[in-house]
Amino acid sequence: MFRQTLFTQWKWARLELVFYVLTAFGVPAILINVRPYFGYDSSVTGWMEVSKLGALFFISLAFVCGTSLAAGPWGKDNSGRHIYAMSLPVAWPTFVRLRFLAGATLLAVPAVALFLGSLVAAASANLPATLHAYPAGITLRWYLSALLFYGLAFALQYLAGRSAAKVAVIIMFAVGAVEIAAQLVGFHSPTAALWMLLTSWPGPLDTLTARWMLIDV
Amino acid sequence: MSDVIQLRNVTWRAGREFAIRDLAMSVPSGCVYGFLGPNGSGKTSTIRLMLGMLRAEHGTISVLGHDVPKGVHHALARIGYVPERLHLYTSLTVEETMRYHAAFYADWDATRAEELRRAFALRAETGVERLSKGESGKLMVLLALAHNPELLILDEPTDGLDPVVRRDVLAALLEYVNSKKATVLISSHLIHEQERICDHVGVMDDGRLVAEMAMTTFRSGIKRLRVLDAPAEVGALPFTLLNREQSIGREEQWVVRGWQPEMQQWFASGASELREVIDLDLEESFVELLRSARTPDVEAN
Amino acid sequence: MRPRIGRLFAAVAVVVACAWPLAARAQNASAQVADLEARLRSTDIALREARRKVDSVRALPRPNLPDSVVAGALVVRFTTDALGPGGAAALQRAANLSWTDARTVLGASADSLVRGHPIDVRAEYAYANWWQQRQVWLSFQFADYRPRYNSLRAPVRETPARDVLSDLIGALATNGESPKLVLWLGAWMPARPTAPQAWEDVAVDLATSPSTIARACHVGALAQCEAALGLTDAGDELLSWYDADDRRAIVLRAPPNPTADEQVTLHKQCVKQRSDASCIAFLRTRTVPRPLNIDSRRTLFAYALERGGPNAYARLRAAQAGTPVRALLAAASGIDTPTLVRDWRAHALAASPDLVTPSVLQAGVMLGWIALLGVAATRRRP
Repeated sequence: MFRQTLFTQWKWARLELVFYVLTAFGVPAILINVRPYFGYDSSVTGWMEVSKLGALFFISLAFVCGTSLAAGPWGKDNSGRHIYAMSLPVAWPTFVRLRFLAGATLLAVPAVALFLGSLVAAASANLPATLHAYPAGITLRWYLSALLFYGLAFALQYLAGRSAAKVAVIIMFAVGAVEIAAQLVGFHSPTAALWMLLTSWPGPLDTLTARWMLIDV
Repeated sequence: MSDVIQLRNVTWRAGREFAIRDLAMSVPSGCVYGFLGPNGSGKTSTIRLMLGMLRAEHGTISVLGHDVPKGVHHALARIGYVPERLHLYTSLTVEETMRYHAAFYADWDATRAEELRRAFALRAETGVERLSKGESGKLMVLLALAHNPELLILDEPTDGLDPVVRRDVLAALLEYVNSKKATVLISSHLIHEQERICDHVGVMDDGRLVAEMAMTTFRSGIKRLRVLDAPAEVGALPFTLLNREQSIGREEQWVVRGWQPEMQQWFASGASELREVIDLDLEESFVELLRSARTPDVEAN
Repeated sequence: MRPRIGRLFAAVAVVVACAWPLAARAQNASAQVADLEARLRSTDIALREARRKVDSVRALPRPNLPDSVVAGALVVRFTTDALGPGGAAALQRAANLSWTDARTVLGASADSLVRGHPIDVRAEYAYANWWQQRQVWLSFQFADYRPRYNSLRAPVRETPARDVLSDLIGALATNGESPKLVLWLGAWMPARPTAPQAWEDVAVDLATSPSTIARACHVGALAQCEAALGLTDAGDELLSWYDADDRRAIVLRAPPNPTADEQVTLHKQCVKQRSDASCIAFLRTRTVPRPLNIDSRRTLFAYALERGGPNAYARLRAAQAGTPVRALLAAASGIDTPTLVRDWRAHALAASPDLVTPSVLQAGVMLGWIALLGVAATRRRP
């Protein structure tokens, strides 16, 4: 069952995956090697600036990869009048687990590409003595974060069902309304507090505040 | 003969517009059960309730001895289901779809599936999205049959198919049923098609099961009577009067259910006279049954 | 002939018509610069006047503050209503924590330092948009020592209040210290133990400093550490702290004043033609950045107090005026400066983890969240 589920999800996502693999492999090397053309010198500061730019790329790629791989199967499952899987002899939680694990497995493909790309980039970089390359570290962080974004999008969709978009909009409006109400009565921003809670240890989005640097101290 | 499908007091609502109310239904083992009803009468919703795709508000549903929806996935392993519309992943090919589907069935018969694919002239590498309506129908029938199910639930399986494809599909189904002695629930609004293959029949209308009986009873039990000098108040009747309407002169036409030849005695004992008993074909019976169901005060007589 | 003259006139007319706006714009540009400079001057005068007025208002006798919390010798006075709901209790907790911190860093001297110097918390001003309810801002200030002034929004919360109180105690401790030390620190004295995060920041600062000597310190050239920390006489700082590549890297990130042609030229020569003389000339027009930032120096200072034990701060205060900073640090820590700096570096590098790779705990927690989301997704059957 898992192999077939993986195959179908691979088939749906293969074009996206090719794009992600190329991007994940190519961008680190490009960042490192074409850096002088964008005005980044070989000083420590220059390397750190490039690395910060790379951090933006890594985090964006993790977000896009995770959410798009979660959206794909959900869209396919919900395209008909009823969900095909519901006519199959498999318990719904088992089916959703298969989907989840298959997506998580597919996310490993760009992660491997990212690792190889980072290795190539690190090998081609002549770094100052105080800086180091972290291809394995950044790949592990990327993969876990992509899985986290994937999990968030996946859970939202499979929990909210066909009204996922509606639920997302309601959540956004609710957060906005609470924020305005709090401002009106002079309380500290609850949205900021919530964001702090989510992005600080051990919150689920703590990884957003981490150092996503291929090149770091 | 035990029942493979049992529904008891099932209630389900779709917004304010439509509801299935207190539905009780039994499909005996080994029968071909024709599930009749006009479009929008609730046949598909009932089937989806049986398969756990919809959740009943009240009542109990049991399929192949498993409670639905709790144990429906166990039941589904022994059910072949052909939905009203294509529900497969359209980006897969025929072969990939067969492989995917097979992965979920322990009893999948790959040889049988391949035979059916050839018999239906389905090309393995064709994408599902490129299949014609007839080919899609054939593929769904193939998927429903290849794991040797004990129960086939077919929701309008031949709707919209051309006569040649319809014949192929029905032939495959009948061959399977004959060879495996499987139970079949076949929903359709094509009465004549059901007449040929069904031995039990249930009729849905506006979310209610208005009749459930053996096909022979259904076919022979509904008659049109030409009655002369019928009294305005008929009192207790040995049969069910579905409908009565004025004909020419003193004559009335009655549509009755549960007719037996010995019931002619009732007319002999009264002032009215039975002129003729006319057999109705299945479609006429169906129409009369629905008409009576929609005017409950007549049936109450 | 006549048509030719006509064409010439026409051409001259076109050229003049085109050139006129450019010339006018050039004149406008210099006029605008002059105008902006005049505005800047008048704004500066207004700002100074405003500051003077604020100071005079602050100097006025102020209403008494009826409530207070006490932690050791630390007294914080306030009006309960002004702190907002739960504010008094939060302030008490914050005072307890910051007093403990101050005792840890300053030892017994903290008592004599703080005793008799209450901190006043006053509702200073309220700010609100038309759609907002009034927000109260609170000023935290020693009643008799005004240079340091901190603000917090009501209601008071423990963590920010603790930070503010520690800052104020640090500012008070800095008062009367050696001007050399204050100048070297570049900020108030820290009045709380160095947090692990701060040590990580020191390691990062050492590794990413624009100065070669700071980076050399990071990789083990201990002699360079003192220079990078500004503890030795650097002479010409621009030349002793930075090499030619460092200087060019600094210039690359320091855009020239576009109206100063000389700066623009020097910048271009330094960056494009790699002329070190131009880099030096350009940087002479600016303040030379220190190799390590304020926080790194404060960490060394706090570390010296920590190493020196409870009497470290007392020894520091007892040092004679004019004592060099390295001698002050040695006095406070009770060890010689090279050893202090060596240990400080080792401490910083030990606290420098691989910040990129998630730790086992971090990875475990992330996997936990992922699993939780996966399980949550299975809970609802469509």
